[in-house]
This record gives sequence, C-alpha cells and structure tokens, in this order.
Amino acid sequence: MNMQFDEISRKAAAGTLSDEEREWLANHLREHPERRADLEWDAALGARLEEKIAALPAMPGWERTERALQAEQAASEAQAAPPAVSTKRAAKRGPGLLDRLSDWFASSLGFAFDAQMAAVALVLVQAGLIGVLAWQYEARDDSAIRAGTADPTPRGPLLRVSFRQDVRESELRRALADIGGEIVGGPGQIGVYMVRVREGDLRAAAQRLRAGGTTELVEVLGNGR
Amino acid sequence: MQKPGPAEIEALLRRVANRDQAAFRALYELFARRVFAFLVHRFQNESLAEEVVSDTLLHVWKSPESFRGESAFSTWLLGVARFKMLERMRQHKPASEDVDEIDENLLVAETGPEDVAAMRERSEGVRECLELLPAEQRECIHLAYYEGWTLDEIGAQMSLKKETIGTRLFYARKKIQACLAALLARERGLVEGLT
Amino acid sequence: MRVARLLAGFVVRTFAGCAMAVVAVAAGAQAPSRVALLIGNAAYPDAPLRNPLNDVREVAASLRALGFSVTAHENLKLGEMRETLRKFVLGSRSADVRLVYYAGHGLQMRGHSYLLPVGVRIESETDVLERTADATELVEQLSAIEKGANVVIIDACRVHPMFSTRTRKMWAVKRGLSGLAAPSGTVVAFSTRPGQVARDGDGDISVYTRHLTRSLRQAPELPVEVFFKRVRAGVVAETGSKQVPWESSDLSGELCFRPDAKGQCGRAP
Repeated sequence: MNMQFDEISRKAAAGTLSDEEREWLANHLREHPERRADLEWDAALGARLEEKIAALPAMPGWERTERALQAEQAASEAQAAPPAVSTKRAAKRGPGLLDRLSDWFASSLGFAFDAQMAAVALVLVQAGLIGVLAWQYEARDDSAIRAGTADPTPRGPLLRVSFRQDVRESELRRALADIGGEIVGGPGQIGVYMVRVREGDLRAAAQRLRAGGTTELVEVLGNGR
Repeated sequence: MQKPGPAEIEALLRRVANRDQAAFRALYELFARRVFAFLVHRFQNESLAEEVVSDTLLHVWKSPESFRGESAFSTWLLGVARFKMLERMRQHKPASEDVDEIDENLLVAETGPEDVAAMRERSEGVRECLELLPAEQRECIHLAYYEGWTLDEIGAQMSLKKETIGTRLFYARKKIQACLAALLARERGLVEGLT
Repeated sequence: MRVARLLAGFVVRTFAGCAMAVVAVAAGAQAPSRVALLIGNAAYPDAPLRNPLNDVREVAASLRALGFSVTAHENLKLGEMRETLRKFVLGSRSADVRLVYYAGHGLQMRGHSYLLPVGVRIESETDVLERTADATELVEQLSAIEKGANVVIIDACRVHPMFSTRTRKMWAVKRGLSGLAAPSGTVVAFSTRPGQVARDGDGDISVYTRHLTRSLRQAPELPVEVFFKRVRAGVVAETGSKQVPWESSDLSGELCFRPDAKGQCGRAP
C-alpha cells in the first residue's frame, strides 16, 4: 500500500488531479509499471460511479423546494400588507365594530373623538398584526419543523414494519413494491418503518410481507393513530 | 458531471443573498443531484434523501452567509446534508460495526487484469458489490472516487484519522474486488454446469 | 379511558437519579406478563460513575420481587446497547407491562435525549447522532405499542466532562436531558428538572433512588401522581432543594404500583 499513489490514483478517477499530481503520477508509473492495473481499476470504479450518478434525477426534491419558496413568498407578501388583512378581519368580526368601539370609548372614557379614533386604530392595527402572524403560522411550510423533530405518526392505512438486519435495500424495496407500499416514516435506531399501502387490503399486504421472510415485525395500524 | 468553480459559486451565493430565485435554482441544478447521490450511496434511503436534499439547499437559501468559505462549497454542503440525514434517520445500525475488521483473505491478491476487466464490464455487478459494503466504507468510496476528496478531508468529515480512512478505502477496494471475482466465479460455475 | 385495572396503552417514564421502576399491575384472572430490561453504564474512561451498576442490581432485585421477568446488562457498548433496545422493543409487544431502566450518562441535543454507551468518544454533534442510543425514539416506539403499559426509567442526568471543554461544534448539545414530551396516556417523571443534572451521589445508590424505593416499600398503592409527589418531597428535603424531581402526566385513569385485591389504587394517608 503506497498511500500517496493510492490517493493520487483515486483523485485521477474523480478527475480532480492537479498538474503537479499528474506529473508525479506519470513519473511514478514509469518507475512502477506494475501499479498501472490499480490505476486502471480505480479509473473504472470512478467511471462506474459517474454512470450510476448520471442516471439519478437531475433535480431531486425540487417540487418540495419550490413549494417552500412559494409559501415563503406568499407569507412575506401578506406581511407587507397588514392594513388589508386587518380590514378584512375587522369586517369579519361584524359590521359596526368601529362604531361600537367608538361608542364604548365615548361612553366609558370620555375621550375626545380624535383620541378615541387613534386608540381604535391602535387596537385594529394590533388585531391586524395578530391576524397576520396567525395567518403566517398556518401558511408556513412546517416540513422544516418536522425535519428537526421526531416524526409524527402519519395518517392513513399504515403498517409498522421492521426488516431483518441482514436485508439489503434492494430486497427491502422489492418487498415494498410487492405490496404497493411506500415508506412514510422511520427507521430510526430501533429500525421500525411506517409503510403506507397505496391500495388493496391492508391485512393481506401484511400477510404477504410476513410470508416474504424479510421482516421481523409487521403490524397493521388500520386508519393510523 | 459539471463541477463549477469557486468564482461561479461565490457569484451565485451573492445573488442568493439578494433573494434571487433564479440564482438559487441555478445552484440547485448544480448541486442537488450531487448531494442526492452522496446521500443515497451512503444511507440507501432515496425518499428521505430527496427531502434532505431539499432541506439542505433551502438552508442555503435561508442562510447563504452560513457558508464561510473555510472549505470548498461542495465539501461544506455535503457536510450539512450528511448531518441533516443523520438527524432524520437516527440510524439503527451502529456507527462502526466491524468496518475495520481485518479479513486476512483479502490481503493476498494484487489487482490483476481480470479485476480491471470485471470493473469495466460489470456495471450491475459493481452496483451490487458497492451496496454490500458497510455504510462507512461506501461513504469513503464515494467521497474519494467521485468527489475526489483527500484522506484528510474525508477524515475531517467523518471525525476519523486519515490513516483510518486509508485503511477503510483499502479494505473497501479489496472487498469489491473479491465480490466481483465471486460473481464471475458463480457465473462460470453456472455456465460450466450447463455445458 | 384508563383505569387501574387496565394497563393498555400508557407510558410511565421516570427520569430518576438511580430511580426505581414504578408500575401498576392489572388485576385479572391471569397473571399479567411483565418484562424489564435494565442497563447500567458506569465504565466511561473519561467520566466513570460509581452508582449505576449498584442501581441496576438494586432495581433488578426489586422488580423480580414484584414479579417482573428481568434482563439486566452492565457496561454496554454502542452496538450492544442499540441492539438490546431494539430487540426488547420488537420482542415484548405482547407483554402487559414493559419496563426499561437505564443508569449512566446521558445528554440532550435539539430536543432529543440520548444515552451514552461505554467506549465512545463524543466530540461533535455528529458523534451524538452516530454514537449514542436515542432515548426519545425508544420511548416513542414503546408508546406506539398498542397492547400494555410501558415504564421507562432513565437515570442519566449526570455531569459529563465534555461540558467542561465545549467547542462551537457542540453548541446544540446541552446538559441534562430534554423534558420528553409525553405521548397520550403517559406519565413522565424525572429525577431532576429538564436541563439540570444530578450528581452521581456519595452513597451506593442515588438520593432519588433511595426515596423512590422507600416510597415503593411504604406506599406503592398510591396513584402515581401522588406517589411521585411524595418522592419529590423526600428528595427536595434531603438535597436542600438542589435537586427537584419533576413529572408531567396526561394519564387518564389511575395507575399505581400495587393496586389492592379489587385492582384499585389506594388513597394518600
């Protein structure tokens, strides 16, 4: 094992050699022609990895990202127009709110009309602000909240599944494809997946999964928790 | 795959800081698949990897200044993605399960022309053999052979000494060779059985 | 609606300094199946602990006296610990009562609690994710089991030397354990407030364990909320309020550690 050669050979495979490294490699191979096989092997592995990766989707996760961007944009537009929101909310509370407030101020506090209106305006702006903040909370993409917290149990017809430790991902995916299932939660450290079965009988799907021999646990959740 | 230079990335990040969505999309086009490839190769969970790619790039959108230029952008980005993926997965496999176990049988064979031929010709076999590696070895292989990281860089990512990374790469390589050789031997056996 | 007679679907979690397990037993025609997994980690090279192994042995003896089928482990490494917890979660689903007890080091990060196996070094947030056992997830998974009751006792509010050399890499890692949010039908009890730590103690077992076991001997028939209040009073008095046990409960119905012949809990004296 020659660490320098090994590292440069791998960089050659990744296409990240500097000019100096290229020169070093050429000299090294002249002195050690037996290392050419290792170089070629590494290059071939690099090429296989390139191939594999080139076959992957070009923009994975873009739809989700775009939705988040749109939600953010909509939220900031709403925040830029609080008077419109507060007017709507004031209207929603019922006609004559301003009148009622003005009457209340006039009857109970004895303020001048202008001062009353200023006080009312303040209340409405505050209500509008609260309204905007509440709206923003609802509109916010809470996938970011979920990302940092424990997975909430998804809804819908679900199986709780734990696969055997020696099962490879390809076998796992075949088993899921066989029952029309998709992973919607887990695995975590305990290794329990939540699997949604897209269509068909949940119990029959559970039985097929058990019969496949890849699982240690299959439980039916019915309509979720 | 196109790997942009630092100047291009810096320009895009400046525009992202000014809320330029077109620049963000360009950044996404340049890096999303690369991040996805790393996560899928390491963690073997495509649906989760897709979400984490989105989360990682959205992190750049929200806080472009969090990349401080102390490393290459791709290095930083993969580190963020890796951490987010680990958080999401909270994996049930122990981190260092037999990864550095020494198998005497693997130490013997030098790389020969047959190994090279197998690696060049057997795409599906290579794919399967890569999947059989422990996650930490897969990660080392990906970062070294696809991203071109040095042992020091991989060691920093995985909090391991460069010598340990070197050893892991050595054994990963030998395991892939042994796996491909076994695959060929099986095929030969099948063919001989038929004739 | 949960009543002392039924043990379906609730979780009691006690984060205790060397705590004793507390659980209610269903009265019924058949003796309920009660299983317990105990883990005590003490042999940390950088921060060895004195009490956990004694705690585990004490708890094991008490649980066996209560009729539990007990499996106890000491000084588990990472792989052993995760696999032990995993097997327990998967293998005990038909039990009426499941109990997990852990004594050792623990920490919290980003709202999750993690238990430290022996033989690992934690120097970054990534290490926390890769080299610990996730207590939050363990409780979630146990809570998700439809049959039976769960008791998770974690005595892990201990000082770990990593906190004396914190770097920017570790900013999200905090002392103590997160106050785990209780799933429905759950009682959560801690040996001290979330985010605070408890000392290993001077005796053979911790202050909290001593008061917990005392209450278990003297008043196991109390409904758990009252029971833990009694324990808290004892710990607060002995430590001069330096350690204040803490619980949260959304349990519906009554739960006690030893119901009477009619399956009901007793009343506070």
